[in-house]
Amino acid sequence: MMNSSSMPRTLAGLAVAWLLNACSPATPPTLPANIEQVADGVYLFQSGGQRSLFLVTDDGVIVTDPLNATAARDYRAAIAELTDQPVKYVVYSHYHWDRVSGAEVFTAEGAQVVAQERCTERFVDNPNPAVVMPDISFSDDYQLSLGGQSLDLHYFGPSHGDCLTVFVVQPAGLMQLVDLVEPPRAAFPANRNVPYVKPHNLRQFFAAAAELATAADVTEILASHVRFIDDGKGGQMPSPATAPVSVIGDQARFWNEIYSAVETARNEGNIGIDSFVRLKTIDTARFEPFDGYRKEDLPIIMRRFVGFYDMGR
Amino acid sequence: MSLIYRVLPTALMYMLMCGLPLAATAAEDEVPLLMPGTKMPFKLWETEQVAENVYAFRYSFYRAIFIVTDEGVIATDPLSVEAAPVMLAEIRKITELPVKFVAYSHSHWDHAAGGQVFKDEGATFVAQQRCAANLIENPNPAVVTPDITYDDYYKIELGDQSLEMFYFGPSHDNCLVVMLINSSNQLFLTDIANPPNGWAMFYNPAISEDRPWNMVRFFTQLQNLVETREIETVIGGHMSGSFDPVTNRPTIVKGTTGPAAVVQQRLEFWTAITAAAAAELAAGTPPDEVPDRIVEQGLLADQISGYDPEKMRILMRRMTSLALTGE
Repeated sequence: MMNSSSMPRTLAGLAVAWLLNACSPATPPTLPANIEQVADGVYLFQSGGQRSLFLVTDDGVIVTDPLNATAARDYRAAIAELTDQPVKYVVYSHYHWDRVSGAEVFTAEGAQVVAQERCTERFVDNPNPAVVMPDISFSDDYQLSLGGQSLDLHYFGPSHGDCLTVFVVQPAGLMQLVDLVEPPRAAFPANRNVPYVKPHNLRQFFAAAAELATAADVTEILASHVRFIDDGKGGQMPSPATAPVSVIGDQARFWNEIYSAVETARNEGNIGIDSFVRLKTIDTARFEPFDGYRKEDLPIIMRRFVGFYDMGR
Repeated sequence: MSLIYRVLPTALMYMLMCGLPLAATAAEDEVPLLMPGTKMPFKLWETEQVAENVYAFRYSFYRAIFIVTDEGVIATDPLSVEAAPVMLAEIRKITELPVKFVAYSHSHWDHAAGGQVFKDEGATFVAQQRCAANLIENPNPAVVTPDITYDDYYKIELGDQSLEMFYFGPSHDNCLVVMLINSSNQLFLTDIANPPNGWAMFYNPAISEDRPWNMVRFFTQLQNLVETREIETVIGGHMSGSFDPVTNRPTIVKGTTGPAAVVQQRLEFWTAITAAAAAELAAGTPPDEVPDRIVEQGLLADQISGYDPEKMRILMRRMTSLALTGE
């Protein structure tokens, strides 16, 4: 498996990686610019600030989120640069349209679409013609094995949306928690409304994911996005493709701090009649270490959890 | 503008929907309660007759209904462990007959908790099947689990009365149902629209508990029900608020019931905000800029009661997410 320190982080880095790859007999001589290799036969495709995981084997290709119709065409073309093998499976991480639109390009060559059953249910309840309906739905766990690799799918209940599925790639020992945990480090949510967070199960979800990471000997967490982060030299760089497993616990800690701050605010009567926690009563120091810290985002993030404590949802 | 005048009208106008902790809940009867932040007297609970044998029971800002028949009582949301025994005592003032059914409007604990006092006298609990699933997924010992579950429709018949429940898909919560009291043809709505005004701003502008992806479909079906059943009156699951027209001070609206026009108004509200976000994105506006753009355009600024640009930004951020992700 490729060391994370050799992961391409910038365009220049990508060029270096390209040269390194060109010297390695185990990898194709050229990697398209929108592809990163993260392990033997394991890649991330990039488009529009998103990353999608795929596995190349001698018995076919397993693709995850197709993103959207335009991205999916680029995705297919990039895979064709790596292998002549057909795409056999498309696996949806969850039901959000910005991740799962455009799978036709893969299903047209015979790929089967796989999703957790609550995703399938949602596509029935709220159909979108751009989203191909799953052929295979599963409840808790499902394994796709091809050519000596496997993509293991695990469902631990609602977390980000109702059906988010944890991906584990073996034997590489990689895990992806799409839209929930991002390299390089734990962060504030990109959308401060936190419209998708399911507080009634989020803690349990993170506990189960951390336990799985240990049980499955996961060594690194894969990104599902690319964003610009501080490069430590006064500039910016694209966020890396991988992070140590500890990022799961760090992100769980962020949410636990939110739960705990809201509990404290309830106990101490620091919630206004509009159900917002009063900003001036929040101990902000505990949130400052997290990427994307913005003090003024805390009340709206916490509003979601105030509702949870009142209503159980 | 002092904080209280910024916050309180908002809270009142927005019908105090969902999960509002009442500052004065622990107060004893002899201590005169005031509306939080005001000098307005406030009764912690009251029971009002809204039709023959049909009663509305309010506890703090929450409301449930019960129907008295010649064979027993059909009750709805027990509200809380504090409210339910009071409701039972209020029922006892009207009839000695037992509560035979408790029907949940949805699965949120702030409406569904406290039913044990009715269970103890043998009541059968009725809920939409997804509510039952929610209570298994995230159990609360204060919430009685349903005995009878159903999918799209259920009718409780007892003596000379009946209560119909309609499920139109996810709305507020994933299992909320609307209830129609057959004898009075009154519609009982919780948390999705409240009389007297369907244009009131959402109590939580992030609409976190709502399923906005189904709201237009939901309200279209609900409006269809209103029309086909010729429903004229709605009972709200919350106490409403408004402004005193003279002093412009926040005031409680004395009106447990109101016109069914709130349904059509809410349908128009959801339709407008759903379309506005989609239209901005279709015009190429970057998602992060959509809320500001819509507030600059003044969308519904004159229509929404309790309009506040910051709350509108939060709401439109949510609607932009919806257009991008389907949730």
